[in-house]
Amino acid sequence: MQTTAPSTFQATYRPWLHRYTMLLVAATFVLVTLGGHVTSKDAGLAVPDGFTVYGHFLWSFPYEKWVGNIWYEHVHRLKGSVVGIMAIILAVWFWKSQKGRRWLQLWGVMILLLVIAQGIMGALRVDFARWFPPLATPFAVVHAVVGQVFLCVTVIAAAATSRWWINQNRDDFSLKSAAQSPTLSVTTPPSPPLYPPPTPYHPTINSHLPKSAHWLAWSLVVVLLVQLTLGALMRHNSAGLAIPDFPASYGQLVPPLNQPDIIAAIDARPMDEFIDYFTPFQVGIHFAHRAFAMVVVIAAVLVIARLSRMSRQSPALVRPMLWIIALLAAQVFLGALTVWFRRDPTIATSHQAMGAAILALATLLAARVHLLHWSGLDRGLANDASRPHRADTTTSLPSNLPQASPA
Amino acid sequence: MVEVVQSQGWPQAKGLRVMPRLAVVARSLRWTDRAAILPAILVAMLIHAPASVVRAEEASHDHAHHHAAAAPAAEAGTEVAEEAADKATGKTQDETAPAAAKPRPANVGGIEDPQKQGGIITGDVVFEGKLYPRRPILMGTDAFCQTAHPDTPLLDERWVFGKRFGDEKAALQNVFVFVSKGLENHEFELPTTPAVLDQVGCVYIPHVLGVVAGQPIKVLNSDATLHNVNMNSKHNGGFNEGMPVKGMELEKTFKTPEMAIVLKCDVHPWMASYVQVMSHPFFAVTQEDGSFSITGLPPGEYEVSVWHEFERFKPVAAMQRVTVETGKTSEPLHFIYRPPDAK
Repeated sequence: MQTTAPSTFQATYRPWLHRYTMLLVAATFVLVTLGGHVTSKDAGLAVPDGFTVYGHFLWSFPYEKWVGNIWYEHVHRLKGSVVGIMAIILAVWFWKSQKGRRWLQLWGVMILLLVIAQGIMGALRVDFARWFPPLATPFAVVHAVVGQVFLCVTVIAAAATSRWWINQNRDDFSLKSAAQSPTLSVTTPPSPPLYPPPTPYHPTINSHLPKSAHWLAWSLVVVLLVQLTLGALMRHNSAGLAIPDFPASYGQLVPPLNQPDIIAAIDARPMDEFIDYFTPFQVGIHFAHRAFAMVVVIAAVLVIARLSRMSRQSPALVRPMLWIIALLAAQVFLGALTVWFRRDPTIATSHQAMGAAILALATLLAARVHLLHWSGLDRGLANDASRPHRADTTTSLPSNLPQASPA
Repeated sequence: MVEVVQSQGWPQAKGLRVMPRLAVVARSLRWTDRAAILPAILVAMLIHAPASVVRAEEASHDHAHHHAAAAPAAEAGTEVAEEAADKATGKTQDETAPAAAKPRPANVGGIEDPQKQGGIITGDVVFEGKLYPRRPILMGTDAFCQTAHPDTPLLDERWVFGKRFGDEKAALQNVFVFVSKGLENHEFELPTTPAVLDQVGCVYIPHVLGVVAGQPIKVLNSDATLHNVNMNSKHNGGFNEGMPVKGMELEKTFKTPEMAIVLKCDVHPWMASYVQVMSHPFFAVTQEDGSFSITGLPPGEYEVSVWHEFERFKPVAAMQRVTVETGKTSEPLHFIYRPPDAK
């Protein structure tokens, strides 16, 4: 029987910590969606002062002044402050409760620093419209992208506190250092024997998973990040309707990309109050977003097809994969609706929020694949009975006990 | 009094500067003390902030009373604008009637020329083609804006057809008519009186405004709601300033000639005004009847051009030549716009 050196550290599943982290993910998703709606409603500069609200302290801005587009911008800021407070609590909670998981402690600190940086960036995005307008739009794009990166970071935190993750019992990325450094090791009481033994979470994740699987999974996240950056560039340059037809682009496969041809193409279209003359940059960035959508779909299908062959029976990997495919199909349709309905704010925001959801799922998938890669499960150790797997305690049970029935 | 509020910055922002000093004190305290003090600071801020805005509103009230009546009437010119201004500011006809001379009509540009020493260019702009309906604006997000237009919904101002001349012909309003060539060797006195752009009933009045480079622009808020004025241009920089209090005013100067600088309100996204910064004062904006008149021109040959914000409306001839003689009105110019799908 193959044996592995058992780690003295065993992470403990803390249900309330996990639930709280999930709540932070949900709050961040709502925050990102509200931020998207601010852009859809063209409300980003409705409150000209970034660090205050028309001179008021954020939480004391009188409700009767939440008029017009101020409402959207102010609610986004309030929600941001709530997420900020939640991040502080999470950082402290991680620091106190995850002493054997150094990386997760630092992850909590990083979440806090990132949310602070993002808040400052959001305020500067507004203030640059007063101080130095050429920087206002670039900052808005960076603010949009970092917001989604923050969502990914919270998703990883939620994944790392989940029961599934803990049950891998390789702890995580601090395993090696924990094993080598006694000072970092924390010995927790062994779990009581479970009877009947629960079904292992990943019975067949084994040598089929190649060493590069985690890079494959992360590459999908990178592709999605590129696509959302293109989307943010498009939205913040008023290019959402720069190609007014879909699926064709001005009736062609590739739209005209120089000014005279764009003007001629727009003039050839019937009267439409939403369509004025667009610049080559606007048409170009819009087309790049559309073209890259095809890259995203192809990449997602390829990555998921490759990963799913290796993890057919692991719901922890299969479920996010199925969701990604389903939401991608819906996302393409929402993109089309955004054009057909002339950039209706609700539809445009749904498209942006759906993109965020897909990115979050891809991050979850990548994090889980990464854990399996890191903990060595992908190298044929998954079915090793000597592994001190918390959920798989069959080897420690007396042999004369009846085994659990499959039912 | 409003200037005092502006020059000192926001009262709350000033209040926040106290925070570092409080932090020094807080450092000497124990955790338990700090925990008790923090909510106290928050409560103090909650109480302080609304009170100071009320003070600012009270301070600006007298000022609003002082200027809001005359300014839009003088600049906007049309009766519609005056009525809207009166409605929004709560003025009666007697109060708004200017005591001095009658203001110049809004469609008359150029310089004051009482001695008739200069020439005059006149003409009109009409639209020929399908008179596309204007989109009604939904103002439900701001009750003040909605009540300012109780009877009929405000319509989008992207194109405004004025006097009708048939089913498919109408005067086209808000066309900026200007001398585009022929004044290169002339110098003109810079107007010292600021051009006024008012926010009345959640609409910019006027929708198209011409100024001479270096001439100040005074932006007013005659509404009892919050506006911001946001501008970003190629050659004249940009700004974004809040005007949350009725009666506030803002003065800006654009120093470089530039066409179609958009001033917009992000609180009410339908609000936009186009400022044309010219190197000379010879321009006009068409009004309800589509006519325009540019007075006080030195004699000479000029090219006159037109601009409309919806670029897909095409002028049949965007530029026309005209000869101006001293003290005479030149042959009227007729500009015709057509829709994009005109055959």
